[in-house]
Amino acid sequence: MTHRIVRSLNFAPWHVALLALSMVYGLYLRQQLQVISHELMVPLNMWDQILTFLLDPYYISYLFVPIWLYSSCVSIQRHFSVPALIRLGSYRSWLYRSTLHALARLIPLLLIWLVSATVTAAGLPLSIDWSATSTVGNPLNQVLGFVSNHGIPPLLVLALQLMLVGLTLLCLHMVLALVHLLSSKQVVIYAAAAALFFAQLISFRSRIEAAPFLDLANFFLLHRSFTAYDPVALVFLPVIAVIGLCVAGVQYQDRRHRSTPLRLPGSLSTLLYVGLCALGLIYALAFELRNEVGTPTDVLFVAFYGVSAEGFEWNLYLYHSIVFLGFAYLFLLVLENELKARIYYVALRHGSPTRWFSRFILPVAARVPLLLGALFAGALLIGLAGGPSADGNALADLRLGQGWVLYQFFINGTLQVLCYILVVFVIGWLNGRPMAGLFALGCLLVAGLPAVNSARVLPAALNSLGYVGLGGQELLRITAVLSVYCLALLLGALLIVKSPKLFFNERV
Amino acid sequence: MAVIQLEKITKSFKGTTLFENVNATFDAGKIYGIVGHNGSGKSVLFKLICGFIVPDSGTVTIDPTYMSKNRTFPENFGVIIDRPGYLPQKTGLDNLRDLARIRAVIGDDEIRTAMKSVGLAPDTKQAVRNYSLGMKQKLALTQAIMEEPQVLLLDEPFNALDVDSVELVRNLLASYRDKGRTVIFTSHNREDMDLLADHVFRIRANSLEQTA
Repeated sequence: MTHRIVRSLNFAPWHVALLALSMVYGLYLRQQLQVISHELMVPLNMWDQILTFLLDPYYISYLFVPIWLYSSCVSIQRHFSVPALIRLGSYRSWLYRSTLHALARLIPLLLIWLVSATVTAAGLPLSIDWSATSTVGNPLNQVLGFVSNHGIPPLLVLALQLMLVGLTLLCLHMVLALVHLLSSKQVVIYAAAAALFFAQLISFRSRIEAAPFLDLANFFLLHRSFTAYDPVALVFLPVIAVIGLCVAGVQYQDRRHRSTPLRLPGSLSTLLYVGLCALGLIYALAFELRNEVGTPTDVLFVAFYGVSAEGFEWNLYLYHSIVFLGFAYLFLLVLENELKARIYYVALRHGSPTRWFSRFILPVAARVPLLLGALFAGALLIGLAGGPSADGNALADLRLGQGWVLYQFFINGTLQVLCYILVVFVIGWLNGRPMAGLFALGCLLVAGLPAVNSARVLPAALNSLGYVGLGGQELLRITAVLSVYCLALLLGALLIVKSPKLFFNERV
Repeated sequence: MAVIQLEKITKSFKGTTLFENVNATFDAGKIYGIVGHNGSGKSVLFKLICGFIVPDSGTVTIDPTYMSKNRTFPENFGVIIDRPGYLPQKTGLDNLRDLARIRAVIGDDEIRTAMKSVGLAPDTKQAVRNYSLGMKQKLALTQAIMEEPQVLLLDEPFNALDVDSVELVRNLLASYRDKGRTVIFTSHNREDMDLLADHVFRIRANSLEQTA
């Protein structure tokens, strides 16, 4: 693979022009830096020049991004052809191949950028650490002053910035490829590219603090990422999520053409799910460490905070949804297999739909407490490994204490996940298509928002630990609400199972 | 007693009548062939027999030997109906293991034997999604026969099979008849009917006519 990429790297004549332009701009930036250094009366080193260049919004937004978007449009159209598709066999393979082509285009661009930054830094003192100019807090030197304050060495900042920009550009390429795939019209892909260009221009000028994942500049400039995401590594999550959506979109297109199920492969989905769960727990630990308080139980509390009556933080709610709705999504994959491929053969062997249902749903239901137990243990282990004290005092500021936290996590958590599973089952089965289950999960995601579910009567995100602050009475009421939903959904599921018309007719 | 008896079966879907007052009897130790044009209702007939769909009127009676008290669907039936019956990401053997585990009357050895009997290699690591059409058909046949059922309902079992495999499956079905079991199959190939079927039913004008 690496050999193929290296062989396919295309250094075109216009790269020379870009290099020359970049060098000129780099020299201009160096001149600016020297003025700052002179005014502050502190010395520069090579990192000032290299990182100032790599974090320069004008270079990125007015030169790098438009070149990338345009060349992506050209490349996508060039490689999208019937003979290519027939040989590749699927739209998904085409997307992967197109992304590989994009990588071959990206590497020269990044190299030009890096070489220009390094060459224009020639003559400045070599160092592995930040310069005095970078560490002096001054309005003239906001960006590096801000980044250097985070305790990350400059080499790591360089690597992170290149990774972030590279991944974001590949992500934009995939978005454009998907747009082209869905529309197949030249004008649409150029319109999409123009929209992305203007969106990033606006985003560079004004921040969207309420929804940092919509703020494109956060994915191009590491200093913006530091403000929006803590820990900064989380900035990669939305990019990966969009890439995942593109892959799912392409799979959908494949499915439309040859009835392939809309899903990631089961093993990959599970792996992704476990990885995201672990990432969330690590994030919670980082949050606790930043606040310099907390116990291992607090890691659990932060990780599964979800929403509260007062509002929500999108990142906490996103993680909560990934864990609990994600489990329901994995269930949906299993359900899809039963629904689409094997139901006659499985039902015949079980002898009756009721028996099939009980043997199908009970093992899944039994896994819910196991999942919660694993998450609980994971949170405690990560908490202990991360160093917060284990004295338990940090929960004293909660109105109710650990007992109710555990009650909400385990009891309401179990009921909530069962509710999700039953919703997916009932909706998916009645509709006969997995898309319906996905749609139901999307609705539940919205229904969980405090603004929508202020009375806490909709069966979504009610297991949020953010609700613990409302008191034991409210938690018991939530238990009652979830129990009623679970019973009603179970009755609905049994009705489906008991009625051959509902159970099979959709699939005649 | 007949293994399967259809009495005055009527079935419509969304205003289209597929069967009207259909009567038929299927006895043990015989092979029955069903013919009919595409969309005439051959698969629906199999689903009616299995209890996967319910007739609008009339009754499907299954020999009580195959219908214990708590069962909705008959026991000891092997079927191929229009669903693929396998999970594409798993190997053939793993797919069959999943299904065999439900009744737990056979183990790995029997599954392997059944696979070999239709010409499939049991230990290949190939996922089913990479199977050829013919291999998928053989896998469907294996799931139907692996538990040695007394009744086989096979919707177009010879589809996509090569000449040798067709011969293999024909012999297999004939051996089922010799053991006193019942086989009902559909096919568009007259040769299959001539060589195998003791009786042939044709679905025509919403009815099931015995033609041979």
